[in-house]
Amino acid sequence: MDAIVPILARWLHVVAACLVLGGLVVMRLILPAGLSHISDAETRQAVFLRCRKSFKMIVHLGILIFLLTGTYNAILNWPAYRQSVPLSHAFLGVHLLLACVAFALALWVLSGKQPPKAHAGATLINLLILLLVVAAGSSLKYAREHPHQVNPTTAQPAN
Amino acid sequence: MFFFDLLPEWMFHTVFPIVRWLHIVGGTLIVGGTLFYEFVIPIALEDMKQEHQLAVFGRVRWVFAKVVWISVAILMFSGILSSLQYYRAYEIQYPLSKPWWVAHVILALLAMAIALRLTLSRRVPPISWMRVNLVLLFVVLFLASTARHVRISLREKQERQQLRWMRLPPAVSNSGLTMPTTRPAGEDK
Repeated sequence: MDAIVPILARWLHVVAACLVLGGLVVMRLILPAGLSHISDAETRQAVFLRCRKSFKMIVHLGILIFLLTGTYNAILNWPAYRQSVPLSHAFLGVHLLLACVAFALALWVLSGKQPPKAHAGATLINLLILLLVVAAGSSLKYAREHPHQVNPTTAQPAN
Repeated sequence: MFFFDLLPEWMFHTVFPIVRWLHIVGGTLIVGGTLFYEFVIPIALEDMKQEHQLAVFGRVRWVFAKVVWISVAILMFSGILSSLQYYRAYEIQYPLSKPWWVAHVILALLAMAIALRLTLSRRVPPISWMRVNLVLLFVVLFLASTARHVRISLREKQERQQLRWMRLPPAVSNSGLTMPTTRPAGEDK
């Protein structure tokens, strides 16, 4: 049981990232290419709105999973992060800050029944922010796994 | 000896976080893209005439295929580099983690082969294959999480043992017994 919960928490965090980031790529890059074949603007908008509705549910569920599993992972890994200070704290800070910006932007773009006028640009910016969030997260993980290499002055092991 | 043994320290610690990032991004593209292609877009198109459905779906499939090919290329490249990086550690230091890593690699190769087969063929594939592949991809992610958890748990356990040994009285620690090593020769940099 001690091993199952951390594994599930990590798995859920990665699955949520896959759904949100992959969904964003589909909504921003793949779907518009398909919709360009529909000549009727009304039908095109109706199909887009139906996809957006499904995507909204996925994003809301994804944010909930991110918050729950992210908090759990941070508490669980805190002693290990302390071994590779200041790198781990720098990456964790950037990861959290950018994730909050991405959540806010996603909630704004997906609020209401019609998307805001700037939704295409905002979605593209959100995609780039999410790529940076993943970069900060994977660097944090790397710093955690190589504490003595990335910061040789720290010597205390994890609890 | 692998090529990264020759890399300077700073380059090693630059290349491998980027490789890890690429692996995660490749995974998100293929998993999220498959879920949307399989579950979201067909529902959005169901009210349209069949000829329109096929036209839109064909175009979406064409772009989705490109995303799958790029993802597979990224995953293969970053996966091979990561495997080379950890292989000796799995062999020597973390043998309990090795079966999870092997299962991750085998199922990932199977999932990528199915994804390529489904996107390379000219005919629209049966929907059930995409669903099977999505489940397979979730299992692949689970195996990766488990391999990582086992590897990190073993490493931290070894470090705790080493610390306990270092705290023993000098009479014991100088008695000629060897201290458990945390990083044998096979470990990565």
